[in-house]
Amino acid sequence: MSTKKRALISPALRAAMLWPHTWAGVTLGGLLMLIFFMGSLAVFADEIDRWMMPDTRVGAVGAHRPDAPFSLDRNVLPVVERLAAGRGLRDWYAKLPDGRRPVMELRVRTDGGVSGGMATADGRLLPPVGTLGATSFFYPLHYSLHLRAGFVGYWIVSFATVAMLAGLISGIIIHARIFKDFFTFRSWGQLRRSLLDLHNLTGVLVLPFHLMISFTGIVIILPMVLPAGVNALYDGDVQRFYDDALGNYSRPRSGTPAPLAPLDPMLAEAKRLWGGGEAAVVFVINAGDAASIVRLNRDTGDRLSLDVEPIFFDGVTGAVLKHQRPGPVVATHRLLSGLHIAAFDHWPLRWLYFLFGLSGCVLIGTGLLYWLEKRRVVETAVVGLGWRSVGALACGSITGLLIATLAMMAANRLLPATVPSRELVEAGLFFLVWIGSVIHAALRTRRDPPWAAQCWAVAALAGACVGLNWLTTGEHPLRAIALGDWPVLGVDAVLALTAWTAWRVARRLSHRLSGRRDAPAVTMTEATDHV
Amino acid sequence: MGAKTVRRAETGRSPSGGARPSRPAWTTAARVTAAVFGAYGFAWGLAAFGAELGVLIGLAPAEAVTAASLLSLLILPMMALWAFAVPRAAVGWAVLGGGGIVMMTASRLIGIILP
Repeated sequence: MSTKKRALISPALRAAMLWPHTWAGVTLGGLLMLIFFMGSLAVFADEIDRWMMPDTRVGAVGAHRPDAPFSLDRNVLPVVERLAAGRGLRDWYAKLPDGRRPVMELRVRTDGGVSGGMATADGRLLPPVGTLGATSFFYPLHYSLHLRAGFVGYWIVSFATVAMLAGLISGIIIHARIFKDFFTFRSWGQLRRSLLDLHNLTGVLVLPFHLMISFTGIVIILPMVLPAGVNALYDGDVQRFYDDALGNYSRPRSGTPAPLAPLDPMLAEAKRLWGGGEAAVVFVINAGDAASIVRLNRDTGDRLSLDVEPIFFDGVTGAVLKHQRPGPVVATHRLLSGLHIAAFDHWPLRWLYFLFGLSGCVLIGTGLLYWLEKRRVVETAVVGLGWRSVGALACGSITGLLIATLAMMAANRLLPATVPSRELVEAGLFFLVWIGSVIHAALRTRRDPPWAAQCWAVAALAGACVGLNWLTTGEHPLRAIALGDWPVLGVDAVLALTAWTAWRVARRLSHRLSGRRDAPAVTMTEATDHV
Repeated sequence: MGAKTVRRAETGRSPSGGARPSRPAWTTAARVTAAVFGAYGFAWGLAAFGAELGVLIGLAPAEAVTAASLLSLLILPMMALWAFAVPRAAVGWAVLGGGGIVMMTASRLIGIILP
């Protein structure tokens, strides 16, 4: 069997795979780090939102199913009217409260512009949250880099993800032969060895997840980044393709005013058609018009697939206009998308997604570090501009990214609510701090990127975030336990763990820098220093 | 044992030592562009041709588009790597670029012949 495998993967093929593997990693590693890190945060976007939006930490105990049954007409419509503030209503939608988001999120388009807000399940409008939070900042950064114009961000992220897939496949081919060498020549005394060990370990152990998550990530936006089929059969009209594939329905405004039929009977009918599912989002299109449409999306918390089974009602009569199930291939597409989005209600799986996502960061990070260490050994003690650039970029995309994220979360707790465009100030700070950390890394990289200094910054910021949450909201860990406020407690716990880990790492690195030879870290680095 | 042994093991594992140093830079450029643009062109051709073919064998348009696109995405990273594995870069470009153009033309023809 092994001879057969050897014939399949020739030494020449393995040698040929090393170049694209190395250079795709070195050039796109930083970007992939951002994608994997923000994707991991996105798993807990709702929980981070609660942390960043203290006003929405309402009724953490059993808030999602209040005693009075939830009513679209009584609880949602008055909030919509309030948000419209007397201007002509055109369209609106409301994401309904669920187990992880105890508030509803509304967006209203009127003749006078767009407004939005959050409200409690019983219909009390909350003050503006003043932040994009994880849902509207970290999560879109993961898939669009916030470059929405012309889907540029989608293209860049997809390109990097195809490179990730190619990197995983070429990694398997390269690793196939060295499997034996690898265990024969294990030498724990060398940093380079340890980095390669960790790179291969994460690469092999979490390989199925990494392949799945990279593939399904592109699958979600496939019609946008590979529109060949849409061009051939739908004349390039992606909207028409989606309408056809997902069973969407649309019609233009008629211009004749007509009142909206009660929404609650439609909700009941939708639940009947879904066979007992819960509604997640309600859309009203062409509000107040004779051609108005009410769309209800199903909550996908109880299934793998992202099939939201939209049901379209006539807004005036309340009759069902369209309820179309996808065909088998499109259903497969929804299942693959659901595997990526992980909207299903399963806490152990969510933690696995989070940890496996971070293991992707470890895979990419150790790959970058291994490249740096190896080049440092092969070349002389004097490192060139190329090495320093990759070093600075690695530093900026590993510790710098953490610093920027934590700085934004600290700013979220520090900026007063009165700051104009507060959410944009927060987001701007993220990018400024990130650029700053890259510049710092570029200036300070001599023989090594400034890992220690940046780790100290991570430790200080993560610790500060826990403290600031306590000071500004009064919710310290003990109180969170008493309230059963697990989202906030969980975010605080991960922050505290980050602070502790970064502090330990920073201390070890500092000892190494100051030339102390008793710290365990020294034995790992000595080899690279004297070769 | 020690550094020397490990180093030998390392060089033994990475015989290429960079981008095939004996070959000119334009060969590397040809491979990289074939992997990026050639492979995408091939995937594009397959997605377009597969979609038309799917409708031809009776699939609903949305189903045909989705199936062909998923298949194309599956082969895209492999095709990109193949551009580095093929002995001659020109062959890689010919197959990826040429194949993409052939399939795109075929899909156009099916689209024109069948309304």
